Amino acid sequence: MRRPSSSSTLFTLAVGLVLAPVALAQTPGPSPAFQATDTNGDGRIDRAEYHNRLMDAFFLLDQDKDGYLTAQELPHVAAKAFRAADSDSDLKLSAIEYMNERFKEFSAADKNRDGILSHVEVEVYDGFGRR
Amino acid sequence: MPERRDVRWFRARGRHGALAAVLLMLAGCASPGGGPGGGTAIGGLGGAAAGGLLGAALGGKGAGIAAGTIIGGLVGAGAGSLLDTNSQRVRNQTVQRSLESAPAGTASSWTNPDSGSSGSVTPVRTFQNAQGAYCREFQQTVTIGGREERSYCTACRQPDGSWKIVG
Repeated sequence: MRRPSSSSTLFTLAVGLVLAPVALAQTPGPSPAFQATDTNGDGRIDRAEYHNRLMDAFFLLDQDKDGYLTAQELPHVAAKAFRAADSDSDLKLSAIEYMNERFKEFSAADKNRDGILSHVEVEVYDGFGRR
Repeated sequence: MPERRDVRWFRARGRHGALAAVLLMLAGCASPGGGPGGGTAIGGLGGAAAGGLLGAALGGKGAGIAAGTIIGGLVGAGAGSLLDTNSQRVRNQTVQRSLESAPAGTASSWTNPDSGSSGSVTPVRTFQNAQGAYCREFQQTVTIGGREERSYCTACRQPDGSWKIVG
């Protein structure tokens, strides 16, 4: 079984701590976050929907709106996880670097490898996938 | 009781499509039928983000917009024909605040009790253009005299922090 990388895991954990966590695993149906991401309402999250959500997140996290995320803008992300995402080692994350890191999580959560996330896959990943 | 100024203007124009037409012409916005994004997924983060796979943003964002800093061209001069000065100001502040800090899918409403006009602004997608500037597609509604018009716009953030309609 494919498991998320340790850096990806740390990155997700750290970012998730910043952001009002929701008990996804206890939600009987798709969570509000899932529904918000599933913009076409088909009950699944495809890569385009995930990309859109991440781009919105990137923009909102980028406090000075310079187009990059620094460690200061991600204060709860572990240094190791930040360095792992910072592929060009310029001490800041471009949108592409941020996306690349976050899409590792998409792939890790997509257990049946169909390129689409069900709410169950999301809940399993958030609840158990990072153990 | 005399009619409110916005209502008088709207009645004078006589046709329901007048507002949309002017907005489209001068603000470069698309009609609802056209939709944003040219067929791309409209999407993004709605409301407060959760942690985990779908989490990644927000948490206290939203401050930091100086009221009244909107550039006049944001929603076009046409809106000035439709809304009184105070309504324009309130609307423009709401647009600026929404584009700067609201997650996609989150509606920001405005109202001018003096004129009775109201509206809302909802970002629907965020992207970076070729120059790396942030751009956001958003849906805008304007209600005058009880009639609501809806349009889709794209605005890009300028170096001075203002947002300019680009299409």
